[in-house]
Amino acid sequence: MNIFPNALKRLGRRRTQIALFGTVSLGCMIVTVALAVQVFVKLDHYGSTGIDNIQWTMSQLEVDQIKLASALERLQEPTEETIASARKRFDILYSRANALNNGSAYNAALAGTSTDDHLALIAQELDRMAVLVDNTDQGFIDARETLLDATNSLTPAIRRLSSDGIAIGASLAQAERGSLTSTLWQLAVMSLIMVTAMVTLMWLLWRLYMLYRRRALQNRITLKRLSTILDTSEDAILVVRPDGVIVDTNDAARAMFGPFGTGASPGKRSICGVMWRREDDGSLSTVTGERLRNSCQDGPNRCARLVARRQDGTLVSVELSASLAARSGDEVCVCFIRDISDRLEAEAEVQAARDKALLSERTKAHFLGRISHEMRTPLHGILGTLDLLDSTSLSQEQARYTDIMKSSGQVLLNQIDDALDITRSSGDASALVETVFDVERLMEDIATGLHAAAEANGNRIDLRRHDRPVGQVLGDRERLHQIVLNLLSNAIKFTRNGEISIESAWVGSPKGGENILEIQVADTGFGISANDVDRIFDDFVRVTSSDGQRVDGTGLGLGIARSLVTLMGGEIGVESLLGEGSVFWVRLPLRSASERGVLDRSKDQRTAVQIVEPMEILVIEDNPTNRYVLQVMIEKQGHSVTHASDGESGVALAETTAFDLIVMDVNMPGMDGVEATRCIREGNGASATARIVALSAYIDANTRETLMKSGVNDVRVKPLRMVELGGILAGRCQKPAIKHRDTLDPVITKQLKSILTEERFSTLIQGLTDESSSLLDALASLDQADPDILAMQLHRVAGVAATVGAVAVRDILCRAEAAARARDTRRLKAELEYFSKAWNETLRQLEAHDKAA
Amino acid sequence: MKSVSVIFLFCAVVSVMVARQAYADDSSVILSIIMTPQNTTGLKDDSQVDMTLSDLQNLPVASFETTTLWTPDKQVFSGVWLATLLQHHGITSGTLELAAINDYRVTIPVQDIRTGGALVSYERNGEAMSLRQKGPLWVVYDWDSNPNFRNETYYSRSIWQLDRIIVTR
Repeated sequence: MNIFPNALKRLGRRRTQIALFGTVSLGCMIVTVALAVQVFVKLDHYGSTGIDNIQWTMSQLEVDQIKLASALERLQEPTEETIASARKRFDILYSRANALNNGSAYNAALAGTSTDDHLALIAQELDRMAVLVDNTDQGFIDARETLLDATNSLTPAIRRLSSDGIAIGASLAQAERGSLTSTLWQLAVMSLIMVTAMVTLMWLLWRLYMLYRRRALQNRITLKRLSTILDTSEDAILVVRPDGVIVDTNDAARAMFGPFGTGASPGKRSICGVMWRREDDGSLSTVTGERLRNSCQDGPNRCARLVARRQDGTLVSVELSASLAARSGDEVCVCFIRDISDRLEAEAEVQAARDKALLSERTKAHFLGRISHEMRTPLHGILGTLDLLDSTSLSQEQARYTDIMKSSGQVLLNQIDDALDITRSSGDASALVETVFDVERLMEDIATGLHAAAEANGNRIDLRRHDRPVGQVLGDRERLHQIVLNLLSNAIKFTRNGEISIESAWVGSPKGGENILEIQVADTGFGISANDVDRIFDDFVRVTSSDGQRVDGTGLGLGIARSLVTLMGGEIGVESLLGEGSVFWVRLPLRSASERGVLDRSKDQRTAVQIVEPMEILVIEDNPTNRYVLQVMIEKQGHSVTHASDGESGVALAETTAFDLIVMDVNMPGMDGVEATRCIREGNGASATARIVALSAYIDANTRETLMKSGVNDVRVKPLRMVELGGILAGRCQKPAIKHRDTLDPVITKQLKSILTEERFSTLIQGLTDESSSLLDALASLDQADPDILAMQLHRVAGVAATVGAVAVRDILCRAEAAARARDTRRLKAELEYFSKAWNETLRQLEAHDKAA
Repeated sequence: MKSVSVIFLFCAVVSVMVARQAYADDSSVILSIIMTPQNTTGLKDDSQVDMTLSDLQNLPVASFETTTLWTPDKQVFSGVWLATLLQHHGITSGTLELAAINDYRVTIPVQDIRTGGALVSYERNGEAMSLRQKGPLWVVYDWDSNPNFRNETYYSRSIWQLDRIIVTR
């Protein structure tokens, strides 16, 4: 970990060194160049001097003076030639001196020296002589002596001049040489420094070069290893540029997609021709480099909805893992592509197998349902007839036989029930039927029911009462009944001469209106070995008791209990010690009904047999035995029975005769119970508003809902026992046959009353009463009324009715409104007639509610 | 003393005028071109060409302004290019020896001479040059416009009071 920072530090130091030496050598180079330029300038200066040879000119001056002097000597014998020669010599001397005196170069070199004065003296003397020279020939000849003297008088000045010239030349050359030497010295020193810096720089560069070479070697090794890894990978790897061009591949990619042009070689391929994305509608969309890049913008991306074309042209499903990488400045997308067609195939196979298993499971459940139905129908006949037989006068022996037959029949019925419960318990939570019931009461009922069975094994059932009773709850009573029954039966089966306690209590604090209800069933039985505890709740598991005694049963009881508990969103468990006993516990989330403030007494009162006034009852049932049994059972309660053997004849009878109750078999050939009920309800016959109880051997949640929708008031399961029938007849004998709950929704009414003042509520009810009266008036002159206006009126009243919770009235009004809009006068009339009854009932309910409050 | 100076000055002016008249005489020879025996040009061996001022003036005139080492300020020189002069006489190779009235001599190879180089000037500042003013002929270079001329070689070739050119092959 700390090698890297060290290397960085080293590199940093080296960088500083390089920068330092680089600066030094650069500085030296600049100075050297400057010096070299200076030297060149100086050399150039030597090449182009502004000064002629000064000594030569000065010595020439002396020569010219001597020559003039000799020419003047020769003028002693004046001829034309000597005169011209003397004049020429003078002009030459004059010209030379003039050049020295006035020449710019000489002036610059001689300025400020004594030479200057000598030159001025010479020039002055020459000018004076020139006057004589320019005279006439005779004048010139006559002035010869004067001129000769003047010429000779120049000698000292000229001599001084030439010696001065030498000194001046020497000092000038000396200065020039000195300056050049010093410049050359500087140049040499600078060059030396520069060379030193350069050498150091080169040494450093050499060190760096070695370092980088070593590093490059390591990189090559790493690269080689990485490329081996990538080439060994089974996934195809593509490196894609943002413009879609594939720049790099591995062996797997080449094997999958065929050769790629790699690097700069021609034949570059684009990702567009390799992969496509499968859209939701099944179409294929092109995958571009841009799209790839965008998908990876927020980090590595994985997508399994891609299709790639293999080398042989076949399209295969692939999974893509892509990520962005910066590559020498520009971004590339690294794509790992895996052929997942095999995996998808396997997944599809598993899916198919699962579907098949589910289908067979459903078929099994359906089959079980059918079979149990088929078995329960004849059982209904047997048990019903036995009940009837029991009520006749029998000899003691006959009565004993009847009891045996009844108990055997009951056992058979229980077995079938168990099988049926299995199929029912594996349903979904929507199958739950919520009612309000008293838990303690339920426990008591179950304990009482199993009292005899417990005693048979020498067991005592202890129903423990809690200080804080659970009381009324809202939940599926039948399911809970089933669970507790199964647990208790199980405890009885595995306990000999012991005690079985059962208790229920709320546990934990209420959360969001839901409490946890815990029910414990404890026994002092054989107990369960630790090995068996885990599988005790599985279906068809029967644990042999410790004394080797075989225990009756299908082994489904606990399995059903667990399924039901799970269905209700609860937990079930057991704690057991072998030989000591077991404690089975159930925890269920349930709502306490006291919170809801609603008591549904109908369920609790259903067992109470009441003597009711005789009723006209229609039995529609295709099975002759059952029809006969039902007829006799009802008649024994003192009611008169009309029967029909199929749906059609039943509907026809209901059309003409007003029955108080219709008992309807659900499964019938031709018109079934659902259809027949709908016909009766919609047919508007004499029994259109009669109470209808549906009877079926097998009812699941769907069937129940269908039946309720068609207009059935209650659904009962075959076989129908005498006690149950009594309940049906007793609980629903009132006229008109409108269910208490259906007329008024007490919750809504109570809510409304809590919001409004007493006065306001009365006004509301009064308004509704007035509206109802006017509606009933309209009934008389229905033919003249405008259906649309009526429909609007109906709609308004329905709204008010819904507000006060008069649900039955609301439903009738809604149906009437629909009829009015459809111009169905006959149905409208029937609905309004029914409305008058329902309205009166509602008013009565409201009054009752007032009194209760 | 003062009157003497005035007389001198007067005399000087007169003499200058006389001198100019003497050199202004177009018929007098001011330049001799002498061929040595080795010469293979169109001219006869060891022959001599004498040129008067008008001869030179008939040749194409060239002119420039430059400073010199030997004069103050800038001077305008007019004359004929030495190259033109040689071309006029069909001299294409060999060596020239230029000689002055003051016996100064200098040697120039013919191939060094080209137009724009040496000018045989016969007028300075629009006037003919007297012997005292380094005339009548003065070989000058345009030092101001060409720095290559500013060295001893060309200074030594700037011969004044020129009167002979000796051509050697």
